[in-house]
Amino acid sequence: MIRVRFTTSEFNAKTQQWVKLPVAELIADGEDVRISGPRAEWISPDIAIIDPETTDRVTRADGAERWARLLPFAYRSGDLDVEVTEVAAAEPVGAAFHYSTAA
Amino acid sequence: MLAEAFAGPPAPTSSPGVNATKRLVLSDGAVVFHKPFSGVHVANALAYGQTAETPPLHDAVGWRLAAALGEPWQGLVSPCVLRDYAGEDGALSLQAPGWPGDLAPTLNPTWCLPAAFLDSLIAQQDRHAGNWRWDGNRLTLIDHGYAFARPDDILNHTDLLAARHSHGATALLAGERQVLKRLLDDAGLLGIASLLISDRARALRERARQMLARDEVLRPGEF
Repeated sequence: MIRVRFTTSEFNAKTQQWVKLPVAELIADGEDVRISGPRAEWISPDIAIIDPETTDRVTRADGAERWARLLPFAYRSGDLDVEVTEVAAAEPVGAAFHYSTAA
Repeated sequence: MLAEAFAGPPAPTSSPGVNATKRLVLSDGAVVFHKPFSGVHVANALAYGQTAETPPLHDAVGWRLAAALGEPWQGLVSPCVLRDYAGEDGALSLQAPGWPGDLAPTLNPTWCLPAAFLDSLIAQQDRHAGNWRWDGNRLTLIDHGYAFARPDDILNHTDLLAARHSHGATALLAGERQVLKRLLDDAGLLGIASLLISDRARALRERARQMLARDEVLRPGEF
């Protein structure tokens, strides 16, 4: 299972510090993808990503976990921080958008 | 506005190995992103037919071309210049208003038509809803690192151009013909040719010529 956390940052002019804000969490488990969080709608499950190792154009239908690992390559502009981690087992993620490649 | 001094530290990042872009604040309060040449993910750039140097360069050239074309294209692209931060040369772009992931601009001709024209002209290879921002009223295009492609380079997404085609609006508008003529009438492509590697400048000229000759935007992936 792959967990992808999307966060953003706001600058606090008073403290001169960045404040990290959650955007969304994506869980790819087998062929299923769940997206939750305060800005879950910002993250599209339909983006294809070029795999830099193979140059394949990878979509969610090519394997949700493979696709999820590549998500940092889809969000390169710097305003979304994308952190990918492998997790051992599913954890409750609350209300979430749920996408499946199953017919 | 992008010449102001930097204020404070960069925002922390969780994935520095993949994305070396730094989020920073300028002294006037503007939030900016610095994409250093040294931070280009080389394998990813090569996969797109780019080089280790072209993504930050193309970010800035994308803005320069939009500015040279004038409105409405200038207002569509987030301003971007080449500038160093902490001793690293790179592209510095202004944060765009709005949010990612919203498909509303694909249904709005005011924004979709000029954006699709620009993406066709610059041979944008990766325009998906994560690479634009929409604030409910205004579209801003960001990330032109994978653009100025050459024939046979790969296409990942060109969603706004695909939308213009799907709406049957491929024919050039009067203002589009006008700027293509202006671009082609200038030997230096309005100052852009000298900023690009020569084969990419030739490809830009050929796309402009093709668009004008056929009186339409090019097909997705037609670089």
